[in-house]
Amino acid sequence: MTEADTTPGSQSALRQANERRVVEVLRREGTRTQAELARATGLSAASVSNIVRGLRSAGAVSVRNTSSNGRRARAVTLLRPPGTVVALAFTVGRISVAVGDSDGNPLAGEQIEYDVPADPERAVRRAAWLAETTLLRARIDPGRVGAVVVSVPAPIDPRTGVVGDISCVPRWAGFRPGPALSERLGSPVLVENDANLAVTAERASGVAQGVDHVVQLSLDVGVGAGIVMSGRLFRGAGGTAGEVGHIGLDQRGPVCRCGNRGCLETFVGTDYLMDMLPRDSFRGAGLGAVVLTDVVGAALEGDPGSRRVIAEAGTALGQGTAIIANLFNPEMIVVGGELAEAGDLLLDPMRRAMELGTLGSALSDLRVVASTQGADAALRGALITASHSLS
Amino acid sequence: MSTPILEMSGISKTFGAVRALSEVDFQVDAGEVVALLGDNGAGKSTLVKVIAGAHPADNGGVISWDGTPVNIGTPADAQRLGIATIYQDLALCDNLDIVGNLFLGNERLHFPGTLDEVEMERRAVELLDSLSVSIPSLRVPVAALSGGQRQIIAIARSLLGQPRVVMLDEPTAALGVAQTAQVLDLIERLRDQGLGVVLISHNMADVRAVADRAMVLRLGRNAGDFPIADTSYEEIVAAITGASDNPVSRRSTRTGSSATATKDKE
Repeated sequence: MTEADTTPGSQSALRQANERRVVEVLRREGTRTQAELARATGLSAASVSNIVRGLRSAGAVSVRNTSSNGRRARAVTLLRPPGTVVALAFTVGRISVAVGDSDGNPLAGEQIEYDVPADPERAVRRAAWLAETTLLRARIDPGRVGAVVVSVPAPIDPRTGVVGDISCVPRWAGFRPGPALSERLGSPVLVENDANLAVTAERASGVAQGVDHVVQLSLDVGVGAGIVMSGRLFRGAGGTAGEVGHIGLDQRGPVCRCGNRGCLETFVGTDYLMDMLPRDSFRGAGLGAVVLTDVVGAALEGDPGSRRVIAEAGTALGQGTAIIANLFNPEMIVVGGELAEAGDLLLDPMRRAMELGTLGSALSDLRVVASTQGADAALRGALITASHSLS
Repeated sequence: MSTPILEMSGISKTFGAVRALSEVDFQVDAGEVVALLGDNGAGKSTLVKVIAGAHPADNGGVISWDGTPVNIGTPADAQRLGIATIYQDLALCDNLDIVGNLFLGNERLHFPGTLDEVEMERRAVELLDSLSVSIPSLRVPVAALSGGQRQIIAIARSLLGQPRVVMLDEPTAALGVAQTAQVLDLIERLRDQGLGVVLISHNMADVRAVADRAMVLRLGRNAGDFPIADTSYEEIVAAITGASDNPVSRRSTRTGSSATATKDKE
């Protein structure tokens, strides 16, 4: 529960403030007995006992019987920051969950394969189950979850939390995952676009630490960009800023699901790349069994067909990114997603294409780097965002 | 509303002096997942065994199938009607492969003496495909499968008899998260195919994830029938434990104060 939700001076506000005092002493001085905590905080022994019991049920402290001056005492040790937050991430074939403490450190996580695009109501129901089950198995009381942040692979209107029309989960258009999840999980839920969360993770603990003008490209079935300008996330009026997958590159290209032709997505989206593979590569791997990571792996081992597919994707990405660079003049462009694991096989053609399309002045200080966050970038970003929303 | 596939009313069952079920009503519609909930000894297993024909009910109750009164006296009766039951122990043969297990006791023959392995394998593939179950090889012994896959094979075997009601006793107990998710997926697929599913589980998260309705038994009696979508976790637990029906709450309703006076801390 955030502070804004509790009335100042109320019982629960008082309780929260007292809990913070106890945690503060433990953090400063290490293991202390309950009696020492009472003296240090000025709280009654009974209040300290209650607060310690609550913290213990959340798994935030450990309690051990000991003795002090020959009398029985209970020694309390802080195990982790006391708050609990939950991050959920939907991708096209998967639901992931992470449970973290109030500093955003992950405590537990799970992921399941799920047909997310098929039905938003069911996917949300299953995600709530996954969160509950993960909390249960980590022995954390679901009632202590203070914030939930959800990553969705689609634009989200920041004013209403409604999922936008054009995305890789078309049946989610017009759906509001926030209230549905909040009702099931019983805590406040914030819904955010996956690319926006990925750039948050990258700035907190990835390659973009301390960089104030960053664009992060999340390559998957679709292409999204998280844009941070002057240290702040830029969402646009209706939340569709950064839908760079629909930058038009080729008037005669394939028709895109957005209704235009030759969008960036039709050159770098996972499904389009898989269709581009030469007929005989991966022979014997079994039909439908080849996934993008196999292609990246083959390219890294020198398979010419896979290298060509990835190089062309890099070139198209560079053409699209050139436009972004001219518009925003970022210091850094981070490329994330499974495809980014190809490293320079993707980035070299991308940089060459950018040189042909970007202003020299915009290019001079621009670094193009691969993400270090892996496939969980959005989930990590959601955890960090949730922990920030606690305080 | 259409006629339920299975409807039972006033079902009682006594074992000697013990009254395990007392005037219990129960129903399952097509395309519906009903969770059967209750504390240990509430009568869940007895009710399942009555439906499965393992323990015939005492005289006095009515069981209707598609609106017609029927008598379920033996497991064969239940099977003929189209009721399949998967118990917790699954009853799979560890040393046989998946095809062997699916068709155990029900083997397809060419002519007396030889098994039609090709036909059995073809049907097994068809069945598992219709459930979107992917298992690398149908010829590995069942002992080599994970707990979730074994549960799925046991459910698939029961579907060969074309049942219309499937009863699952604790299908997700002792499974990991990903495997539990697979079983939940399968339950949803059975519902989509128009089967009635009865799910017995102690895990409220699993129940809330797939069930449409929760039927609660307490001490052998009906203790409530809740639509999952509009019922809170607390209400269902209160019905299971009897928290809503004890001297304290009865007195407080009489005196007009709030029934559940112990509001939890913030």
